[in-house]
Amino acid sequence: MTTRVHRLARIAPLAECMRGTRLATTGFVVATQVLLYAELWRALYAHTASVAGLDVRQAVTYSTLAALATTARTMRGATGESVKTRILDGSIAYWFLRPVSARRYRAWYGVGEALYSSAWVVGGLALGLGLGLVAPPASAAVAAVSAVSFGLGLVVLYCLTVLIDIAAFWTVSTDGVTRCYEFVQSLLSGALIPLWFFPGWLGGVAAGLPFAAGVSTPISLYAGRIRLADAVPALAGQAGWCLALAMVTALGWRRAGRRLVVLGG
Amino acid sequence: MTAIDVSEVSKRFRGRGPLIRRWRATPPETVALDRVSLGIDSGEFVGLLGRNGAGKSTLIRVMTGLMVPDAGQVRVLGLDPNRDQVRNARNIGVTFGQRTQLWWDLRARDSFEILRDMHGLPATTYAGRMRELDDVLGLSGFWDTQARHLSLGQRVRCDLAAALLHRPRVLFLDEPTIGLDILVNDQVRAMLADLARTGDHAIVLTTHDVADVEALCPRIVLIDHGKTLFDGTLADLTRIGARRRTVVVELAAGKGPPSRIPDARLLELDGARATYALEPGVSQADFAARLLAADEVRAIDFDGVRLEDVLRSIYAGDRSLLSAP
Repeated sequence: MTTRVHRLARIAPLAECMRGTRLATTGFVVATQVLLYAELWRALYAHTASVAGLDVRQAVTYSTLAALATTARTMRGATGESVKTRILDGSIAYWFLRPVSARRYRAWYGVGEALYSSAWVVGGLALGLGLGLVAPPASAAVAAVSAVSFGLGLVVLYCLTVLIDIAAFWTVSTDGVTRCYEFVQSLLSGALIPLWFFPGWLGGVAAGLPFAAGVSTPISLYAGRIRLADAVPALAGQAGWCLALAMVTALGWRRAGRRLVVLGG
Repeated sequence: MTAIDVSEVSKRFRGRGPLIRRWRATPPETVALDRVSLGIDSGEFVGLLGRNGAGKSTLIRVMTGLMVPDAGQVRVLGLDPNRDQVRNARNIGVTFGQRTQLWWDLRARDSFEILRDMHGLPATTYAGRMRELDDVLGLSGFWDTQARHLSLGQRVRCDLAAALLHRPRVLFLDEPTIGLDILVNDQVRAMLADLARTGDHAIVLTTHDVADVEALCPRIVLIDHGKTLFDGTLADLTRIGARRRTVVVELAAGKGPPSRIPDARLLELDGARATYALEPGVSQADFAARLLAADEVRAIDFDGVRLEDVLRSIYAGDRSLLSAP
């Protein structure tokens, strides 16, 4: 018998599509975020043509792509398929009673989440380009490099999310850690404000942490903030974070199996 | 062939109180399992019984590989269920009555298809098994419903089907009939009995429903405070219970019950009703005949020979039943 684990990737999108209200909510949240940020950036640029070397078109493009790239966050918890929720309802036991390890299962589930959020990015990008909100990429090479970078960013964000999630094996509830992570991730990934607006010391902190590799790097490549000539070191940096975080999550999963707590008798 | 081999398994839990108290006192330690040994062969249907907190769930978790014992060893079809978790999962099916393995937002049928993919079942095999399970559990009426909208009984049936889909050789059933109505309960029991009759499966059932145990389990393992109190046949356990029989006698109005009856000891007096314990070796028929000859009796109710009564006595702390010759 050969398992067809890749088919597990359809769970998250299927669960999202089963609930029409979820689709509508995600669309509403993303659209509101994009339009409000665009208005804010236009207001900021009302009396100046360029801030920190960035014009209004680039700023709006950046904020639109950042809102789209973090779509996955709006669906988190929607399907309830996280270590934390499964520990709390006791059904985490089943993750360890199937012929697909918990780590592989969560990884394929994450692939589904990534594909789902990518569909929003692609759809949103097309719409944004059509409405003139988003500037087109400078060249086909920029588009290709940005797409690769976006893929690596998804891996970085997945690993970070899983690391926070599997903390539940030790802490049971991860509410505090998650709140802290959401704030730090939003800020230091550049999802709210591009990193080049940060004061020097905070920019240095952001550069030394993996969050920027998830959002800021791919969008900076697309918007032309990182030049094509500097793409290789940027991608290498992202790949490095992917590798390091994948190793840490693998270690986390190995230890988590022995920390498994099934609540209730 | 031994399907499950539990050897001298022990497990302790250290309590984790509120953080503020942890530095002040040594956390209490609970012995969940204390050198438990158990061998279950293929074809056996074993009822694992005990009070709440007796250690049944811990034993199930150790046997399924969810928990690593502090001492001792467990083998399920020759595999260490914790170290060989993925290979072991192909051999076992598990239900936890109160917890579902269905995907909450998906239709029940989607959940079965996900499990089909995980187990790598060919399409024809899967279709055949779903037909069989549908025949017994009547799933098709609601398998297009999202799991979150299923009734408890429907969900339990789906979970049972999910556990049986890959035809596991070892089954761990924790309260599998919880929430089922009488008719479906009968169907499930019949299906489990059929499964046991094939002789290919080792089945461990934990339940508080004594009727399930009486209907299905020829062998009983009784756990209390993490130790095995009894491991034998259902018939043996009921026979042991028969050593301590009680009888409730209600005499005709106006007559007080006698404080002394030959071959019986008065245990409790409640108005016209009296409860006596029969001496060992006294037959119920002889006792009733003597009583009826001597007094005008309205009712005689012999008790203490049903499994439920035996378990009630043992759970209440009466171990003399098990230690008596």
